[in-house]
Amino acid sequence: MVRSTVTPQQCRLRDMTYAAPILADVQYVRGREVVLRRDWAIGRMPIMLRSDHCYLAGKTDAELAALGECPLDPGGYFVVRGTEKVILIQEQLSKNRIIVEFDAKGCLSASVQSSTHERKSRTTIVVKAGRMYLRHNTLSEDVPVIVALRAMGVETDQEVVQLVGSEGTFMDGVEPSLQECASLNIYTSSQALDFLGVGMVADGVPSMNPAAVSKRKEHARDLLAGVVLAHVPVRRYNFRDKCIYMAQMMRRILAAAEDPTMIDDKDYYGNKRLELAGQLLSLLFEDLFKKLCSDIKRQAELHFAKQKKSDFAAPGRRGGGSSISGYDALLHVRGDTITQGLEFAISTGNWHVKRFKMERAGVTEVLSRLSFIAALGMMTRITSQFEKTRKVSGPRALQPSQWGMLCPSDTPEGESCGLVKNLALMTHVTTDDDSAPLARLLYDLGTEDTSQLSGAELNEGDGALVFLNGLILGVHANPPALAAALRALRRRALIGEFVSVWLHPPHRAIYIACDGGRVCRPLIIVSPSGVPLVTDEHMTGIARGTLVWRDLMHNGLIEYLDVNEENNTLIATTEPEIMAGTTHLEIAPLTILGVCAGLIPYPHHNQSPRNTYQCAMGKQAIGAIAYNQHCRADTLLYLLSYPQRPMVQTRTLDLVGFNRLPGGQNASLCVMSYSGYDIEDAVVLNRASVDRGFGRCVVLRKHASTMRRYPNNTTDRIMPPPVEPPPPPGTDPDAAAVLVAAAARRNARYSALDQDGLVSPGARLKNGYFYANKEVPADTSVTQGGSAAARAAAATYRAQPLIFKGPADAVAEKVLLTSSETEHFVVKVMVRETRRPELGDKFSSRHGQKGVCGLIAPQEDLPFNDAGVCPDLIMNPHGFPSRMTVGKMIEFIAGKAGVHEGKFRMGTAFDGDRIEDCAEALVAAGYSYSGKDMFYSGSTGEPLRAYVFAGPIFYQKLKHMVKDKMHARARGPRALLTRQPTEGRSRDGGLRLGEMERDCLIGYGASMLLMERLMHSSDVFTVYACGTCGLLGYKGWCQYCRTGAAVSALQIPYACKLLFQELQGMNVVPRLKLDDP
Amino acid sequence: MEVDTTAALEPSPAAADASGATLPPHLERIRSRVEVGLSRPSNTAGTYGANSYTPSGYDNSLSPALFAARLCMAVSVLTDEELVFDMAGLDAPLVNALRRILLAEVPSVAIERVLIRNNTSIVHDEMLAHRLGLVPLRVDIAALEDVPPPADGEDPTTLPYTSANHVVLRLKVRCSDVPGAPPDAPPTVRYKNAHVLSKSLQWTPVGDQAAWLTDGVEPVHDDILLAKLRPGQEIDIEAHAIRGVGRVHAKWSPVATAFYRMLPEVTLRRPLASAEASTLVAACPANVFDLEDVAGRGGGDGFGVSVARPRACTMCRECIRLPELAGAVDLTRRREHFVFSVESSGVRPPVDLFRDALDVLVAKCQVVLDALDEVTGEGGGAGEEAAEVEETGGDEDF
Repeated sequence: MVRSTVTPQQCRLRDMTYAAPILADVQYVRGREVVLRRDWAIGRMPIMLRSDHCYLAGKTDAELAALGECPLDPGGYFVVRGTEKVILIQEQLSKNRIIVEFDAKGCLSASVQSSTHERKSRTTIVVKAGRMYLRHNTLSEDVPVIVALRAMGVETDQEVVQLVGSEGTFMDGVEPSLQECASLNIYTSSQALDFLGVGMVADGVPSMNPAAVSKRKEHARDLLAGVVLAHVPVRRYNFRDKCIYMAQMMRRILAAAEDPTMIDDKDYYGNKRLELAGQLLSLLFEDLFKKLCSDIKRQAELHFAKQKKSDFAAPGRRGGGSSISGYDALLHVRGDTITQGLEFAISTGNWHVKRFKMERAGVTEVLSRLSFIAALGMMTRITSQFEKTRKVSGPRALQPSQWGMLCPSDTPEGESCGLVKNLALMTHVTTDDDSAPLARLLYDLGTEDTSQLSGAELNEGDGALVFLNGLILGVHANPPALAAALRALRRRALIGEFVSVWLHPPHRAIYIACDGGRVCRPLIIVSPSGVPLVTDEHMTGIARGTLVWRDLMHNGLIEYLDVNEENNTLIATTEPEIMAGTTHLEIAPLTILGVCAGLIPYPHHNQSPRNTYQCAMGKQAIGAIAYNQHCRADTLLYLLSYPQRPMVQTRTLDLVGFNRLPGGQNASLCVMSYSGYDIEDAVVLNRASVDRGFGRCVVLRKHASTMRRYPNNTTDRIMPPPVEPPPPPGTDPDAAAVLVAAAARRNARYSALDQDGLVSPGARLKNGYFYANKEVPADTSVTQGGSAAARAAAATYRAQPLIFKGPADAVAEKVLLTSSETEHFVVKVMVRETRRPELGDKFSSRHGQKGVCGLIAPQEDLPFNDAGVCPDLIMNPHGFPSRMTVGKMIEFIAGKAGVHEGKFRMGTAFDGDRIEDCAEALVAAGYSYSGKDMFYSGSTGEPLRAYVFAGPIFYQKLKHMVKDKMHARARGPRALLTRQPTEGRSRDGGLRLGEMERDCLIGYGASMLLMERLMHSSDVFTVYACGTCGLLGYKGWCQYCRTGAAVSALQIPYACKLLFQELQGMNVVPRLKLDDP
Repeated sequence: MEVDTTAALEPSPAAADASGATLPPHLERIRSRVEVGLSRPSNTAGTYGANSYTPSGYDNSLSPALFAARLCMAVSVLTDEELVFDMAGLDAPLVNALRRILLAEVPSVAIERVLIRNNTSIVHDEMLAHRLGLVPLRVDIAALEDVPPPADGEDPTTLPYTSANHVVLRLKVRCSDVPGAPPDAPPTVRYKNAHVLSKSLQWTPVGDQAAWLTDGVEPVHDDILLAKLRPGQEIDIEAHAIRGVGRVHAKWSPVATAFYRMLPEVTLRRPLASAEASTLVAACPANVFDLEDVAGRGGGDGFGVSVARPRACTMCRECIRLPELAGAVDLTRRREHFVFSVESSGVRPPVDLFRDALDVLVAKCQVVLDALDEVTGEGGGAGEEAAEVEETGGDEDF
């Protein structure tokens, strides 16, 4: 077996999928022997970059660099067919948990979304007119819940009441339901099952045939055992656990009816589970694996059926069964079912899982490599399944329980606002953990098994029900002791660190969870005496590298808490805030923010939407993408020529690596009015700064072409550019020069090509130039006769050069020749364009303050201060009052102080250098305490009439550039069908005079202008219409009237003529009434 | 080291007009001082009207003789790269004109065209060219001619470069391993030519340039990092440098910056108590004030304060901001006294640059004079010249 390593970078460049074979040991019967085949590759599994199975796992920075990989790249995505794909985190309501809420009709209901490996189902108990009913998809109508209990073996009313609870309120609550059951004359399990069975038969009169009755009962029992509350296991039709569970659901409803605070909140984040790429892939894999198995089975059956038939037809030809013995099932299997299925799902984002009837679209997205932060931000993105169109605010709102888990700032604006979220900096999403050992432990710690207990014992006393991942395990007499014991074990790392223990006295329950998808975050444990366990000693240990995170965890100094367990804690934000009863301390307040919001200096001083805007804009900032940015072949790449570390740092910048891959530059900024070209947030740039490289960026665009191979064995090819014959010897040198010049002019479009027919790296490309001189075979059909080689040699080729189309001249950066997985020859040409900022380019600071460049002023016109400092950028002060971005002002002062002290200043959220300290540093450097200095006008030379707030600010150049957007056209292409100008810049389209503009012109009565815009300048067409019949005819002839007497020419829009013809095609006669004025 | 030249220029000769009349103090303050207030500067605009103070018996007009009499200059810092001098007795617009000319119109030589034979470094061709353009070059500016400006629609890349108007610099660097270097050493040790510095730019005389460009052509600084290389990478280019002015591109600006500030004036409004005095001295970051032992001289209790170094004041306004010092200090700037700094990029001595700036200013004045002559019909021979000047004028607008 040939083993070859494939690196992610190879996959990106060669348009391959980064995947590894899935090996299985297969045991099967071949004829009369049992064959064991080891390590049979059943398919290829896409590998997440930087995962344990990734080739890059555990590599050092140098090794990564050698593999063409960026050490700062976060990984967490897949490379499928050459594109980087992210499987977004999916948010869902948690499975197997009881949720009490009002249903669509306003009835109180308790519902459980059961999820097991085999099936998903939703079971609801609703209250209608005081009586409780069981509702389930497989039941054609709601069934009284008592009937279901009866069917499951709870035959006495006493037992029901004890299971639900014998307190007065519960007894009263159950009573109507019991009465209803009695009124139905159902007293035994058998009667109940029969009732259920009848209810399930959707059509026809139930048969009284004893066989049918028993079958019906069996069916009903199976349904109750396997489908209703599917996650509660029923072994040998022992319904005890399920009865208890159902009774608990009733109990919860009754409690909620009494006390509205017991109603659950769906948006509470403890009720949410996040589905990660692994879970999604495993769902898909299981489905595909089953499909593969059934394919194998079907193939074999098909084969044997055929075999039988042929054996039957010619019985004597072979010995009986010998042909069957030769059948090797593995040889007849399409090996790419799993590979293709996974690849297809990841590359399209369509997740189809038949078992669960899951059909989700948009699960994956192409990794945005616009900036480093954009790529990083994508890894933390969470999408929820809620419909975007629904106008409910609940799921969109920021829930208090999201504190510390999800970034409060980073969410898009518009339709998906609040539905797409981002993880906070320290959030951890749990993965599934085995619950069996935990269950054993819980029993060992004194949990009494439900099977040992009567209903009364479940609900009475000081004990609490012990829930493990939503299942009732039993009752514990002293729940606080159990919780304490579990937490102690967890802190000693004797049980999983992500096990959550949630004591819930109102529910009389202790919820223990080790399932996957819970969000949790680490916190410092505070001892009962009020001392945080992590001390300075530990901090120095960490700084020195003698201690790592895991040590802190295993020593019980830090623990992960999920949203639910946080309810049992009292968390202090800072050390001085620790008080009596405090159990935990935040590690750092800044970690409530995510990666994108972490870039903002002093975000706690800004108006909140500004931080949200910056989160969106940070992703559009041009900067450095990755250390391998020059080795990549992305479709479009924007790079800043001189990226800089921001003067005002935040802790997050260091943590995520933004300092090493920055996305902007420190601009010296003046907040003042200048020239009037700075209204509406426009900024004025200093031309000298631009000359010296401010905002200079590189745009790299990929142009790719595949050399295809055709069925007749011909392929596309790349040929050298045409060679002009040299002027005949003896030509007059002047004439020869003219000839050569003419040839050069003629072949200008080939001028960038090298001798091999491909553009040479470094060559300049103008619009219309060729970057590869490709030729395609004229005839690609399969023809008979002659050898393949001879036919290929005889093939004729047609030139189909690849043409560079660009608004501006560009340079070929590099040419990549490679072959794809299908052995097709691929040519990729990266074309580079260097741009300096121009009018209309978009800039933004880190505070959601974007603006376009309104003027590029020469340096001598710009103001300067006593030290000769001249701004790179001028911003209008009107940007401040309404935006209230105080953080930006503090960034000014901190940045300016930092510049003069020669050090970076910190602007970390909820922390950062104090503004007073910065202002004092300013004074020490001879600047005003207020940050406002005296400036002289660059044009008059006199001092400005106000002090100007000035300092360095980190500015981002955003990807929106005029060069990519500007568009105008006089004449140009027209659409084929309507003959109207095409639409859109990419098609050199016209500028639309829309309905509202049309209304305006009508309002003015500018009919001639209307006529010109909508017809003469668009799709004017001369038709010949017959005055007699009103139909369109020919010039001087009406075919309908067979005369040309009344035909006259008139000009109408071509679209109008088209309409007439289309109407005629539908047997509608549009007639024109001609009137001679 | 900066020399305090304020004293040399005192008392300001600007106060009296042609006839020797002076303004009353409150008007003189308006005429000659910019008030530096706590919340804003006031009285920032100068009064240039000849008759502005006529009612007070003061003639505000300016004559060459008066200008000459009033103007006085003194140099305080002079190095190869920096010139700081005081200029008193003239108005802001005039000083500003010199500043603007220094920034934008004094010519220098910079690389304009780069022919790239080979560049396998990580730095893109365009970026390398841009970096090269910004390298200050020391060339005898007077020896070179200007490249004629492109005509309308003419491709600037095809302009004729001759031996008279451009110089050629070659940069040919190849990076290679240094045998025997330790593998953990920094790249500069491990590889030869790991850093391409400006000193690698070698002048190649064109035509007979070697004969008349006797001082040669070289970068001002040897250690400007142009690119970084790794073994096997190579940069082989030819750079053509021409004369130009900063208005066209900042690379031709011969100064890092040129600016001025109005001379600060710090006066005490009232005698200060001891505590106030020490607060004031401590508050001033520029160390403008000195403590004085008033008691020793029998002038009261404890300390007083004196304005020892008003020139050092950076106008941080700390002395008027602090509430405990309210009303103690009066901050103003002298409107007609400038401390002018020329920070040369090193291409030429700053004094030369300033001299050139004056020449440019004179030439500009000459343009106006010639144009006036033409309008008024005097100086018949100037017509042709004026026409040419108009063309340049058009360029300026552009």
